[in-house]
Amino acid sequence: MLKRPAFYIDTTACTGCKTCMIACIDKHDLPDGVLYRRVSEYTGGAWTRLEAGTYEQNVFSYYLSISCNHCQNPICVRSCPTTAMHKDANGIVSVDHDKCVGCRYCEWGCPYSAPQFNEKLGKMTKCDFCRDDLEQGKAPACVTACPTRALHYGEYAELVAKFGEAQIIAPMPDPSITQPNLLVKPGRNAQPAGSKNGKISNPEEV
Amino acid sequence: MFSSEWSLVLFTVLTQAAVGIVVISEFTRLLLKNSGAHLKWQAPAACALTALGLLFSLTHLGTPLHSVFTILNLGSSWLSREILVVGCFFAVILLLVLQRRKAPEKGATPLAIASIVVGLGAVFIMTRVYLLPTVPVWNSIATTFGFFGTMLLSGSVACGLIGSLENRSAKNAESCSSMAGVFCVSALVGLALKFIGIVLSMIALNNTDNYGMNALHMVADKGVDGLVAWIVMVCAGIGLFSWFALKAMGTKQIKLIASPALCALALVLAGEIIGRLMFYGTYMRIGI
Repeated sequence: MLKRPAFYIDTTACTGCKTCMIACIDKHDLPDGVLYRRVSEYTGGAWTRLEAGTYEQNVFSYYLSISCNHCQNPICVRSCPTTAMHKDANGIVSVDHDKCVGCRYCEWGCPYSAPQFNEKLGKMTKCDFCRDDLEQGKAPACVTACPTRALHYGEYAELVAKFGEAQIIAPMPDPSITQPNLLVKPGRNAQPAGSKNGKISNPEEV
Repeated sequence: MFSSEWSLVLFTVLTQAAVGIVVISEFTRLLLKNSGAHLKWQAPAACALTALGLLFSLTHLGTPLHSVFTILNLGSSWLSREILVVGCFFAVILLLVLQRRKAPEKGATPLAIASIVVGLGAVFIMTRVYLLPTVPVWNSIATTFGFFGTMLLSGSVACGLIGSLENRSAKNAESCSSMAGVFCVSALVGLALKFIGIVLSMIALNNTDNYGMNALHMVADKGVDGLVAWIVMVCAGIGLFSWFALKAMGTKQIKLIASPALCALALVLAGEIIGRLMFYGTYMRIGI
């Protein structure tokens, strides 16, 4: 098992097909409205006037497939009143359903929308890094399903050695809040973190 | 724009009103010691309001049977601390009520001071629950001003209503008019805190964007009616209450406050509930 599990997303390879989302829903048999992984489409740009009086466009769009980042300093764990939300010995942030009261406070705080409330259970649920697959040495369902191999997983230090240090692009939040175990390869249109140039254009899907 | 979190709206407004009642009435009691003014029913009323608030908070939970576990993370969770301190506040005022019932001639001063301290601590911790670094619209001193404003506004008017009813035929008119003065000043301080809170919350709203939507633009677009109704109701309530409180002080007839205080309490509570629905409705988080 991993000690510090992390995800790597190559935004230059991701086509926004959402197969990872579907594989996750299928694997965990998730009810309507509960998504452990969400593919956000960040879009912006407009026509700009050039000196010669002509126009050119600077539109951009890219996708970010985000699940729980099993952060090093998870705000959900810090704020959970019951200690149901916890980070286990394998570095996986998970919910103890014998304790969870379903107050949804973790949902308010997490800047990655990782904790998801299950109405039927009356409790929080979230990505468990496909713990059962990891125990058998298999990759998580989202990683296995990705048709463009944009998603990778592994030990954080090994991913850093392979793909380089973590980079943050819009619309990702300031990583110092939770220290996410997430590495992103930015594309040529990637906007800097904190940029107001674009917006998430598929809010109804995530 | 307007939240559907009725359980949290009622829990916070009722609990803050209860703390206001206790803080103002016990402070007045300590100030006007042995003056003949009665302040007997405020603590039981606050006790009932806190119990009601706690019941409403249970309806917010997905699994209320697990609520016993909510005080397990006192080391890092402000929500855990809030639940504990509101529970303690309820316990302290319940003890105060029971002790005064047992020995009405005694003031139970240590318990009264404890209830003021625990009550103020409860409102402070309630504000901390909302100061989340990922929710800039709440993570502002405006939340603190707003919650303490609610405490003083609703607490003073409720104290005035109960005080005027139980002192209708009071012998000591002088101390009753001092009591009306304390309630009136508390209400006006509450109004000042509320207004500072509203102005500061506009700045916090303007600093918040999500999905390309600015929170202040959202209020300007869909929340103006609610914002105006909130301000008008609170101002009308406090205006009405202060006018009659001053009149009662001048004529030394506290019974004059009763009917206006009832109207003022309805206006202030309705306004505060609208304001709190907007507070939860403007929730916007940073991130993805």
